[in-house]
Amino acid sequence: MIRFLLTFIVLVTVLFAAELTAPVQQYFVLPWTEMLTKAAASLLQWADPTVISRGKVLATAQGTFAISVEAGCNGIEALIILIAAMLAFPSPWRHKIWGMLFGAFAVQALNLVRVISLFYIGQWSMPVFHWMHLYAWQALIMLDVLFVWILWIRAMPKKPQSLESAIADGDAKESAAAPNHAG
Amino acid sequence: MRKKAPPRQTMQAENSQALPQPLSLKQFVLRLIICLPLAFIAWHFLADAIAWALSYPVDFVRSQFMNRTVVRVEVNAGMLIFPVRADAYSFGGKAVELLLEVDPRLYTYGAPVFAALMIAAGAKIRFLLLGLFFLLPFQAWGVFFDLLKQLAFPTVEGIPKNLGLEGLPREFIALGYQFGVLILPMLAPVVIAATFARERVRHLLRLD
Repeated sequence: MIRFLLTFIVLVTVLFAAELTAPVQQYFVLPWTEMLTKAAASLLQWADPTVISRGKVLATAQGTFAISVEAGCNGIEALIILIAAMLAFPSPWRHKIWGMLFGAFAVQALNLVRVISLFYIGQWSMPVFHWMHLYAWQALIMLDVLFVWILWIRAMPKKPQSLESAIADGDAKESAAAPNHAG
Repeated sequence: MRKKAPPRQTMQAENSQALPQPLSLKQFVLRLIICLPLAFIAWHFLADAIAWALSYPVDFVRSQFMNRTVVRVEVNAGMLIFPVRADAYSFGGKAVELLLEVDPRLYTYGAPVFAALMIAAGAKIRFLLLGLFFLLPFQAWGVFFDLLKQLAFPTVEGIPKNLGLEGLPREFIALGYQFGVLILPMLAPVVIAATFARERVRHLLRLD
């Protein structure tokens, strides 16, 4: 537990510090955020074709309302936490890679729901928008990370039984099944 | 005289009473869905009390590191207010105090998440209270770095210039602030809840 926690904390700190560097911001964070905004706009256009996205800004065509997807809203910090938790937990590499891919999808899918919901909530009520944006959605995204991690560990393949322990198990079963003649 | 050892069956029964009852993931999620909105409502209405509790560790750190610049910590309508000794020359020779504000809710929204996780896991009330206490330093980190950010990257004229916050300290403040606002409020409650409800977590993870 302590080893896992320490590795996890170190990984979170390193990945988070890396995220804040200028090259990572320029070549990964910004393009990712813009892609997320574009995806949100594409989904919103099914219901309202006038919604537009420009860079990381999502807006109504009339210019009555706009939101900018910033750090903390692009799901990258949540992904960093999930990736660090998966890397720190002892498991096969194949399982880690599948977990990170599935986890990235799960986190970003919920993040899209967050962006879209905030876009509508903001047009309805700004106090509710602030409350949902700053507090409630942050908590929900973290719980999403937690549940993905729990499901990932539960889906972990069981260790193959060693020959010695298999024989020992077999012996134990046999002696339990056999009638006791010892009187 | 040695006491007779209790029968084995009785000891097993006592141990099973000490351990939490098994809880399926489905039950845990259902409980969490019920508890989380209630915990958030309680947190919303307890904003003043939470800000007041948080003002103590923040004031302790302030008194250790910024006693001369930041005069004190005040609580007003759920906000933490920091009167700062302003540069007298910026205000026509008059010594004034600038009031910097920090919204503690930005750093304490993990408290209802922690409470909901603990209640959903069936943890004892004393562990819930102890966990909320352990969350305070992480929340104080966020508040203090928010204050430092306002001082190191001022948007208000008159903030003292000679705080020694140029160069590397500014970079450190930026990193500490980002960590305090983006990572700690999300992470600390989950880590502390997992530590306090270890047995439950092991069971949910199927590690037992």
